[in-house]
Amino acid sequence: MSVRRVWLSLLLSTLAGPAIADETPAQAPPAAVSVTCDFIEIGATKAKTPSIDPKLGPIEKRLKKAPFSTQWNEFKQLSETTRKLDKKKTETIPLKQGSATATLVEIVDKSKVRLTVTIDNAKGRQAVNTTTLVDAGDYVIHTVVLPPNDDGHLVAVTCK
Amino acid sequence: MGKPRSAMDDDVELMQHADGELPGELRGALASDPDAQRKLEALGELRELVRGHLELATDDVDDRKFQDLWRGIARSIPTDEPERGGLWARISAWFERHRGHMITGAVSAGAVAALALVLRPHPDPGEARYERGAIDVRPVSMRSPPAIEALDTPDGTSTVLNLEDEDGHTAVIWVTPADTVEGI
Repeated sequence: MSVRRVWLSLLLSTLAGPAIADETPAQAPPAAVSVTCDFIEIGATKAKTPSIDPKLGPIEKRLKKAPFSTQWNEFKQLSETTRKLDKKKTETIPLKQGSATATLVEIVDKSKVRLTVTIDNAKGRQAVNTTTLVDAGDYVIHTVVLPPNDDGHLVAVTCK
Repeated sequence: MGKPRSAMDDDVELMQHADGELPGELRGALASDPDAQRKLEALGELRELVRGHLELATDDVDDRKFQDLWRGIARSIPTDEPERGGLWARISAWFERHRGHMITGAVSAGAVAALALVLRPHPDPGEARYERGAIDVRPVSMRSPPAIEALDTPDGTSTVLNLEDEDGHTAVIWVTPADTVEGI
């Protein structure tokens, strides 16, 4: 084999080798890590006549239990937002009273989410900053008591 | 004594004179003979007639026949110039000449690809499973209570409660503003 043939063969293998190696694994690009979460904003007060907004059906039973039932008897849905959360990407959640952010930290065991939620009150001051590990389908209800009437501002979060 | 001249000898000498081939000493003798002069003129006219007829016959031949003749002649002439085709013909010829190199290169590339396959790092299968797709909603009995891993309430105090029923778990983060606490 001549020297020229050796060099040509080396050149061809250098050019073609990586291309074949790149194609051979045929790995699909990694899917984006994301979950879909519901954010339900609720206003709670003490009223003469108890009532629960029909829109709050999925969490109505929870609101009828303590500590909610002992503090308030009227619950109205103020807003509801559904957001797809991508891993480590903070999303702003619009609220009627103040604002919130949500960040998917990670998915654990394919059935739990580690989620960071912040809630700012209507004055722009941060009321809550929490990181929670919660199963899909379960709820975390952030409840802030508002002066001067001790009304309640609730933000319920569930993911799936 | 010389040999007596016949009529045939005279005609042959006339034709030689018409063609310009008669020796000089005989040309003078023919010039003084009136019969020989008439025959000479007749020979000249006949020659012009034949030449004109041949030229007309040449003009009647189709030019394409001459072109075919020349192409045949050109093909029969050997040439040292290498045959040149189009771009594809040249590429094909190059591959023909370097086919052995290509095969060697392809085999080498296959070996490199096989090595890359063997030596590449394999991701943890468990990790990959959790990084893809949506999360599963497990039955309530298989769920665990939510875990509050970090909690900060800058302007108040907080209490965490866990509720559980047939619908699942609920973590309640209860925040009481500091103003309210101080007012109690």
